[in-house]
Amino acid sequence: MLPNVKEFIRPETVQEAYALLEKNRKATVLLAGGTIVSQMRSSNIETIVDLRKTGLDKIVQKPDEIAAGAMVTAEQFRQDRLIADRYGDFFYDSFGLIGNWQLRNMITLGGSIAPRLGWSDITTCLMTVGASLLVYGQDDYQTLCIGDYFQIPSSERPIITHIILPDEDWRYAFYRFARSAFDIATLNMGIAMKLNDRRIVSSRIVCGSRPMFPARMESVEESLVDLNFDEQTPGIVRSLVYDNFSGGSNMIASSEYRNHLASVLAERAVKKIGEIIL
Amino acid sequence: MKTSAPERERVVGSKVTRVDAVEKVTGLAKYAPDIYFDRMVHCALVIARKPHGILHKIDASRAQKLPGVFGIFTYKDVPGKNRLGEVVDDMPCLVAEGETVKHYGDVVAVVAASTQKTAEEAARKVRLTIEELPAVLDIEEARRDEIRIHGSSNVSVHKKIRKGDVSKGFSRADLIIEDNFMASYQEHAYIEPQGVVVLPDTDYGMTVYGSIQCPYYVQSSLSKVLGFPMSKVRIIQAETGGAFGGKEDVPSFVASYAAVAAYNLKRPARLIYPREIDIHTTSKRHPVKSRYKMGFSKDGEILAIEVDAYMDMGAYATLSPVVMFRTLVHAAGAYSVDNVSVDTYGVYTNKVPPGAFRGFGSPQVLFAVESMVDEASRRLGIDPVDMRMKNALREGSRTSTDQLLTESVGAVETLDKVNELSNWKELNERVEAFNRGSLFQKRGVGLSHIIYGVSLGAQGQHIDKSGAHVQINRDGSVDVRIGGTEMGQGAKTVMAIIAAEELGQKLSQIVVHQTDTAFVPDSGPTVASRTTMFSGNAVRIACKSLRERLVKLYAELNSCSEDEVELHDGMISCGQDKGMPFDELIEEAFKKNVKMFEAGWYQSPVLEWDPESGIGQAYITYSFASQVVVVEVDMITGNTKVLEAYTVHDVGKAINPEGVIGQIQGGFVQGMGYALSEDLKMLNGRILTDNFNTYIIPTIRDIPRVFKYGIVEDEFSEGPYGAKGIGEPSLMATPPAIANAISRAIGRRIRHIPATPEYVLNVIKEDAE
Amino acid sequence: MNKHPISFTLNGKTVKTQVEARTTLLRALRDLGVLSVKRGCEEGECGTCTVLIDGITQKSCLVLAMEVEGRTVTTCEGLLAPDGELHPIQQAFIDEGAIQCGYCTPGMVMATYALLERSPDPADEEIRAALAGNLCRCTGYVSIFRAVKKAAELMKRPEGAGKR
Repeated sequence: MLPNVKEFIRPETVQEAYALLEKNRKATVLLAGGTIVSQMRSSNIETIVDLRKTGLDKIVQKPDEIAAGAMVTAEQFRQDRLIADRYGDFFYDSFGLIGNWQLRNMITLGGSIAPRLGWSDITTCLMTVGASLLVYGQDDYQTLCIGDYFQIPSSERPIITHIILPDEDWRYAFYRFARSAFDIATLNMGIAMKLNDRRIVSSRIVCGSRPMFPARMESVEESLVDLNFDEQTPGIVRSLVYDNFSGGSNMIASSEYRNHLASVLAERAVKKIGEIIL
Repeated sequence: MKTSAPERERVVGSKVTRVDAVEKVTGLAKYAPDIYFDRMVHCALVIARKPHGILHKIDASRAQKLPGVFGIFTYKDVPGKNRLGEVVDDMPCLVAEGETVKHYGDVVAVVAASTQKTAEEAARKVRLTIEELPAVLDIEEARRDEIRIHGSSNVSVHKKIRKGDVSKGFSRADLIIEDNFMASYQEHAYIEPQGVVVLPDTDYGMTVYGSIQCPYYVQSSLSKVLGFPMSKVRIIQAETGGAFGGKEDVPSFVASYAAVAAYNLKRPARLIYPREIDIHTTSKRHPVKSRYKMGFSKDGEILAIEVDAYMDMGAYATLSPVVMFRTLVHAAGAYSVDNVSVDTYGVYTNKVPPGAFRGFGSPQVLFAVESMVDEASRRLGIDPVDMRMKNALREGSRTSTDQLLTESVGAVETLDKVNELSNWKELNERVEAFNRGSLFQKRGVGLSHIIYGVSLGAQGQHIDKSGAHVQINRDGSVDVRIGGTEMGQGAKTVMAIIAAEELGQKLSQIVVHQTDTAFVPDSGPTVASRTTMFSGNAVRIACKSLRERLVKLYAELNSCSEDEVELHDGMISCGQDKGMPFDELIEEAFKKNVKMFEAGWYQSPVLEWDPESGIGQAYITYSFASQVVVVEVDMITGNTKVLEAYTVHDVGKAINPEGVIGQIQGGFVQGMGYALSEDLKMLNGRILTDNFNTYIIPTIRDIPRVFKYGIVEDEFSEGPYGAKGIGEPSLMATPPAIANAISRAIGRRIRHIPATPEYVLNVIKEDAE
Repeated sequence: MNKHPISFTLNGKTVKTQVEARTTLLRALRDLGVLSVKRGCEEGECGTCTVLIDGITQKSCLVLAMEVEGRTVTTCEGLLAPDGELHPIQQAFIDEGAIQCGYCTPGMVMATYALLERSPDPADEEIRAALAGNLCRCTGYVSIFRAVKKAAELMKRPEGAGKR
């Protein structure tokens, strides 16, 4: 791993880190926890820039949102008071399913999103709650949704500094299916719904580990608008998800099985939301 | 054998503290990677990374230039014979230019460098020019013989049993069932990967420290590869972090590669496998494809059984012919059947060569035969326990190879006990009640009943022997040296218990040393659940001679009768006298020049066997087990959870009950992984699941919340204190119990393991359509 | 390859050493002679390299040595009392027969230590969750589970409490 690395730099500000990245992007890796170490293979890398001292390890309440630093670990996020106050057990339970305790202590939010790991449960959960990214780059700070971040060519991609969690009163559920408690997800599914009384105003249907990067199933979301939430809804979502799934095969599962799982997990997630509201 | 100490005070059978526990729990125990020597070089392997092809050229020029590289060694640098393989030596040590590579993990060169990282980097820079040939990647393709891997046919080994007349049996049958089964690979997944340190020595030519199951195999292999006499090769087993068969013949290969580097550089060479290299190159459990046909009377008697089983031997035969012997003998299961016909075949493919793995070719067919028996009991409407009970082996029964069983047949007792332990009737009712109330989650109860032939058996009896060396030091401490090895299973503790029992010394004063070929002669391999019996008997025999001398000495010193002398827990006494501490008696023995060391030797009783008919005494004795498992299957995803497990083993005698329990629990969970989640995936002969992130073994979260065990002690007269073996049968009962439980839960037959969620869901859907 | 100086606290003592930027904490600790930290997969899966960094349990194969600059690292060696007496967790592993080949044991002990530091009286599911990152291929985990419960009990006793 990293046969040609020469430097290890620990900048104290994001600006400094970005400047280091800009000096030679192809030869620089931003270190943000265990997922990054596990991906360190390239012989191009000459400089490691450790983000640990950049002050991105806090979760703070802003007027209309919560900002979680990119260096916040999965376990820290899961146990955080602000997060619990806002989301109840959603993150505590969902993140509790990820990997294992040691890994949750080593995986950071930014370090999960930035490498674009298809199997990341963290990314799926964050997309489910409508998180966006505060990033720092040549255009200074800006806010982007997770999908848009990856539209930026990697040669210009800014640094993720915070995950922004909007202040909203939605209902959330997350399910993952794995071959054992230990395994990465064969498929994961997060569902969020905004309801006005029983009417579905809006929703997010996020499917990850397809095995590709998590994505929202927008056609399903559109079909749900204005539907009345009742006992039929889980079944409806199940068939919509089944019909609109796009995924692939790999050594863990076939595309057909994933398609089936997506529909099943979606149904279970909607049922769970139903338990809260019905 | 008669026991020699009074029942009430025995060390044998009591709970003792594992003798190697403190070193292990503090992290001070020395495994191969923890052993360092001055001037030691670090090695890495260059592997073919092509399933089949002609190796035209090895270009190490770029790799040579890397700073810190001391040498890159190829077939040209092998001083002796460039061949490996314990049973069949059809495998090159290092593939030569102009020869064919036969699987992805074929080893071509060994790189030695100043650090591990440098060696690994250099290995990646070695360029191989390989002209690819079409590869044979499965059993069916291999059987067609369109592409031949070695010699005239890919189907190179065939063994058979012909007992009675199966056609007559089938003609009398009320029910005939035919089915096909597939048991896939299993990776050992010992947590410590393969590793050795090899050092040129002045006295010995070459000394090896390594993670090793069978030091004598390594010794003989190295002697050939180096061209050294065996007296110039010394093997010292390092602490070994799990083996399960995976370190039976493989360390001979690992040590040979490192020895080529050590020999050429005249420096200590260390070769520790990264997990990926370990998984790509080392043995696995054989995939076995089997076809079963069984005939039953309507009251459940098994009248005939016919089996064809094909084993994927991979690119080299290695241990496969002996693995196949066990497959052959276990294929008809644990039952008394008059008409048996079994054919097992070994087939070459361009894949990693499988070898020894806990159960040694038997779990694959026991899964199949127990599935067949379960299916019959379902179709005949006979309770699964009654079905087994009807056909179970008893004293006076004959096995599938027509071996007459005369003693230590605990089969029926294991069935009785598991019935009781699981509360069988009530358990089934409980599960049925659950299923009535649940649509999408279905539970199932599965039963298995298995047999295990202890030790190497008829075809391995020429190496079925063991030595031991026991020495009492002047301070009363005792050195025990055995030819078997400790790899976690608890051999050292059992040997210490036996020595303490026989000598009457305190357990804490007995040290069982790491196995070293310099001290104990070739004792055969540490496999086949034979160590307690073979090394145990050897230790016991040595200790008995020492004991006799101590008894005689004490009687002389105290003018009492030898018959009344008792040795126990560090005290020697006679009748009502106040006795003498063990170390004081030893001091007396030293003053009187009494010989205080002994060698012990135990060899297998001769077994009569006819390889043409497969009839005869296949094994010296048999262990038995019965197991009940409750699973819950998610009918929507196909996912299976094991909720409860009840398992009962006939071990002859539990010398160290805690060790036996450890085997029972560990074997169960390893068998559970095999049955459910351990899915080795390949693409064009390359293993894709080459680390623990993709090859999924059970965690503490996956084990059943209810786990109960029972031990049956139907003593075996040849075993020490009546002991047989437990290492392997602990695993063997589990795959069929789980497969049967799933089959019962979903109402359809599981024919493939691992029964992954996707497979189970397909089975659920298939029949529904 | 350039080496960089680092300094950190290892089992209560300050350590200064030189490492390459890419060197993992696992390899650096082993080079320092801390051999209880073992390599099983080097991919963050098996857990046999588990250590505590600033009291938080992590897998040292996925941490770079440079990342522990100025921090505190605890390994299995650090649990022994100065007189060499075993930590109650270690004693519990021995008492409950939770050791076979021993290769996973130091990692298991450290995961247990981290758990009991956070939660002295853990529920059954909490134990399973805390140890799910440590693979054992020998024991089937049943005895390990019991050892954790036993350790919790030993550490609650007055004579065990001081060891924490």
